[in-house]
Amino acid sequence: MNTHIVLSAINISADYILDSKRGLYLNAIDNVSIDFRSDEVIGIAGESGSGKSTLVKILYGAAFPPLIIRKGKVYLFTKDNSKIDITSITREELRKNIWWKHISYIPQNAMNVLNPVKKVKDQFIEVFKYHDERIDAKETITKIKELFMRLGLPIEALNAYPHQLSGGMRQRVVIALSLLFNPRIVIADEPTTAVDVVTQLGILNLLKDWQRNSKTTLIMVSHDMSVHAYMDDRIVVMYAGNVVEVGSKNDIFENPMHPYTKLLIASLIKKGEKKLKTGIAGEPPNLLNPPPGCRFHPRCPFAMDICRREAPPIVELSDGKVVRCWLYARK
Amino acid sequence: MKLHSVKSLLSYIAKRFALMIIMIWVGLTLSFIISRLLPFNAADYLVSQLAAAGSQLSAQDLENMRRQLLSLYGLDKPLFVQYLDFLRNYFVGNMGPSFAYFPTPVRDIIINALPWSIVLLMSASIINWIIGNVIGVLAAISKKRNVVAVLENFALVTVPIPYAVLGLAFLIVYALVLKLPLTMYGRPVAVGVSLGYILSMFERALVPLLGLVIVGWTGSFLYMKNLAVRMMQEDFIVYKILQGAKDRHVTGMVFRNALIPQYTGLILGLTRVFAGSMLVEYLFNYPGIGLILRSAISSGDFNLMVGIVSISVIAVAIATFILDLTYPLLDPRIRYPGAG
Amino acid sequence: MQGNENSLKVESVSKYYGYGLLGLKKFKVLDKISLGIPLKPPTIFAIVGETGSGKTTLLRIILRMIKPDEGVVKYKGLDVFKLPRNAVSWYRKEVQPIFQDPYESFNPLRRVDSYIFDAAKRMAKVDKGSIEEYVDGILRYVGLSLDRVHGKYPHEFSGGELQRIAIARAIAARPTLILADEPVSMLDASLRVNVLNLFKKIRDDLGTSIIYVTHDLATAYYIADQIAVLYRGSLVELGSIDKVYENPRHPYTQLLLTSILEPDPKISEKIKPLKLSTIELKEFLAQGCKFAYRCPYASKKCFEKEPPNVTINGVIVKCHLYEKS
Ligand SMILES: Nc1ncnc2c1ncn2[C@@H]1O[C@H](COP(=O)(O)OP(=O)(O)OP(=O)(O)O)[C@@H](O)[C@H]1O
Ligand SMILES: Nc1ncnc2c1ncn2[C@@H]1O[C@H](COP(=O)(O)OP(=O)(O)OP(=O)(O)O)[C@@H](O)[C@H]1O
Ligand code: SF4
Ligand code: SF4
Ligand SMILES: [Mg+2]
Ligand SMILES: [Mg+2]
Repeated sequence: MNTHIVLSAINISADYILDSKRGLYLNAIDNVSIDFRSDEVIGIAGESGSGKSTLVKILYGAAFPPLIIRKGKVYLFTKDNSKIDITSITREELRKNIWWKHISYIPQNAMNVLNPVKKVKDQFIEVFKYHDERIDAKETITKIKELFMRLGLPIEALNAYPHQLSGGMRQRVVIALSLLFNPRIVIADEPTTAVDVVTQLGILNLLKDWQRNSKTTLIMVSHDMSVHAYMDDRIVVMYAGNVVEVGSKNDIFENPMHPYTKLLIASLIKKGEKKLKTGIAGEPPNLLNPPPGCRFHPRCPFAMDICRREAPPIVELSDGKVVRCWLYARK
Repeated sequence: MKLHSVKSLLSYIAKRFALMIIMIWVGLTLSFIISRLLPFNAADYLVSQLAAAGSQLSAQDLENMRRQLLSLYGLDKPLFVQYLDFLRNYFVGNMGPSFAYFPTPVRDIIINALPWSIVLLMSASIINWIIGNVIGVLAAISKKRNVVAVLENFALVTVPIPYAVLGLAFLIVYALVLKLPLTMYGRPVAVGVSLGYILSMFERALVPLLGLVIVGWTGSFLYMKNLAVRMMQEDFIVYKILQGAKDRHVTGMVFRNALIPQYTGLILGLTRVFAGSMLVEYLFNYPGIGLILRSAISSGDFNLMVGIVSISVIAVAIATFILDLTYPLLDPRIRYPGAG
Repeated sequence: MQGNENSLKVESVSKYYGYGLLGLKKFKVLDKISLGIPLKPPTIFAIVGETGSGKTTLLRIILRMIKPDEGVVKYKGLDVFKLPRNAVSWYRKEVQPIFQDPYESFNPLRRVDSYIFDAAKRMAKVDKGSIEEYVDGILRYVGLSLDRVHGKYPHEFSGGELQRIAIARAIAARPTLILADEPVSMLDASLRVNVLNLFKKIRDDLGTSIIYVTHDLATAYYIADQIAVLYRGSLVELGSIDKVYENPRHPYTQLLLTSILEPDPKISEKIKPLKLSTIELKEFLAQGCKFAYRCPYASKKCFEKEPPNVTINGVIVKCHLYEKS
């Protein structure tokens, strides 16, 4: 396969400043490294509060206060293979050269991000203006209509105000917006929460078809493992601000390595299952004061002494598998 | 539009209209009641003035005169009959005679004074609203922290100070410190609907207008700034920023969305024109409605009082009606029934 | 006080809501819903439907929080909206709710244990001497303990813990029926199973029936015995969950079952794309079958005439396809 790295996060750590005077920091991302490749759907999985949205905001270059990056770099590789550090360029540069053209973003509550007083059509035209795409009005409309057609959205929606559309339809409009300039990377943060199962499937198909046709990178954030099972090529599993495991979809579901992934997969209820399952005992830690050593150790049935003292190393196994656990570290 | 939706639109307008009529009726009744709650009336006032002037009339004569005046003004009838007469007269647009300037009709007095108040207060409301809102949005978005801080502190300090104090301070600075001419009505122009007359009104309104604007924009400024700051956190604005919107696009969008609540403020603010502003007109000796209302109250001139109050009641009722009808034009989320 | 029947019966209940600026026009949020929930033997009854299908409205009616515009709700043979005054508090004890967002069902300024003590004292009439033991027992039953909960406020608990406390409060009243409105949809996958297992345990050990409202068919199948499928306010299929699952008859149930995703890496090969609806209100107002705009089998009749309720093999299906001609 002829794929290459398009985006690379290296040793990112980031905090939310809750109260800088009293030194209250919430460590939302702890030492995370991931490579994103061209032509893949890569999922970011994890429970609520595990840092998925925070991570993708950093990848997008949108780490605004109170979020601050303590350490690490995010490199974007452009078509001519030059390397841009997203964490260190100015907002104006991001706005002009990177956002929407190179990498676009579907925010977590996509249902509510459209301007309520503007017609859908005008919200598309605005994006052209933001990026100084000077083409005449007719041509713009034709372009937008083509996009809608290609994505299978009803053209009538263009003349509607956002509140006249159903939640699922609004989410699809936001997806269409993100694809407007054919970006090479799209970040979708929970694009299907709060829609019913039937609409969810439609939205996921929309994203998947686009990715398969354009051979670009789709970063899918979801807490729902079923969504990852349907969409992903590779999965990144997060727990309490750490990436605990990275692997192909089949590896994660059928041969999970990290104790958390193992327990998580075992707790999932499949369609038509009645057999008694067990969940994971305990609760995720408070990130204001995370447990020392491995953040999973209070809930881990395999926890050893060292797990309580030292943070586990990032272990690379064969076939690009990555696990962050003492069980796999060669000492 | 389909037939049934036209129908429901009409029935909507009819309902709002009925609501407006009820509001006016309640307002008229209330102002009637309040006027009759005053501890004295125009007859008492006149008689006591005569007595104070040291006239030679005996107590008996004075009492007779009071009776006569009462019956002349129609104040000797039972309250209920007075109320019915009052409603009947208002229905045909007759506000009755003024007691203090008997028998000049209240309507004529108001018509003479109203243009003055409209020129002054309406321009002040509109100018304040525009200045306050524009600066408010710019302050919320601006990165020049210290300029914003200065403006905000000025506003925070002036807003709670009563206008009596501020207006006086303005007068002192203007007339005594800067030694500028207080009134500029050097050119007497014949009363009437002529351009010259209207211009002369503006000339005379200029100083009080300046006084109203210099301290008056701060209210809508503060309100707008807070609104805009909150709006900057709204998901749809943050999303626009992440889409790569330029600062001026963000400003425009915040303004457009904040306009919706501010519009109500403007329209209702304009209705205050019809009550005049007693204080400003008094301070600047400006011949508007406020000045007349003041003298009507002190002389127990019920008809004039009720006349002025009812004009502003009617203005508020009409403004509300207009707001209800125009809101859907401004905010697409609000629809007339039957539409969309 | 008890009637003779051992079930909760909802009999052709309809509820209208207004829409438009003045709310003058009405649409049916619930359209002649009839169903029965057995109390003996204890049953878990799943009500499944998309957002806006009227699930919460139905629960609110059963809880007497809102009145239906038509139809009756009978609990053990008594009309719950015509209960004699002394029976109202009895009904409040018998039927206990659990809501979707655990943080919203507790007052943030009130200690959580006080809710359980209240339920034990007022509803279950536990006497003073043994009340602590009783409350501790209940909390242990849901996997917590009085030690861990005592004197704490809602924000000191995670969502999963707080939902278990909400369940503890419900069972502390010794109810006969628990109404749970999407009780696990706010919880993470790894915690979800624990709460669902708890529901099974409550049915089996305490003999309490449970109405489990959800949009997630997989968890419904995991715990429920019977299922009712709602679509835009009408009940489209009702029956034992095994039968409905193995052989869904209503086209909407079929669609749901084929479009539901599951945590199985092979799922992407199994599922095929489908048609999406945009105009929710139009469907609520539809004259005939509300699903007709999306149904692959829709005929002319479906748009004009309301489909009948047909009983096939113990399952009720509301669809013209199964009409006996
Ligand atoms: N603006 C903020 N200020 C302070 N803390 C925050 C802020 N946003 C997020 N957090 C905290 O950072 C942590 C990670 O949050 P994040 O939103 O990234 O989680 P997530 O994995 O996306 O969860 P979800 O599935 O709920 O969206 C959480 O503990 C959260 O409480
Ligand atoms: N008080 C109300 N006034 C008007 N309409 C209402 C009211 N409450 C609910 N509705 C409408 O009734 C319909 C059914 O709502 P309901 O909350 O019962 O749905 P639900 O199935 O519980 O959905 P969800 O899965 O989103 O909780 C929705 O279209 C909703 O917008
Ligand atoms: S490092 Fe230790 S505690 Fe952490 S997951 Fe591995 S075995 Fe468990
Ligand atoms: S009644 Fe007609 S439209 Fe409705 S589900 Fe049955 S076949 Fe489809
Ligand atoms: Mg998130
Ligand atoms: Mg609900």
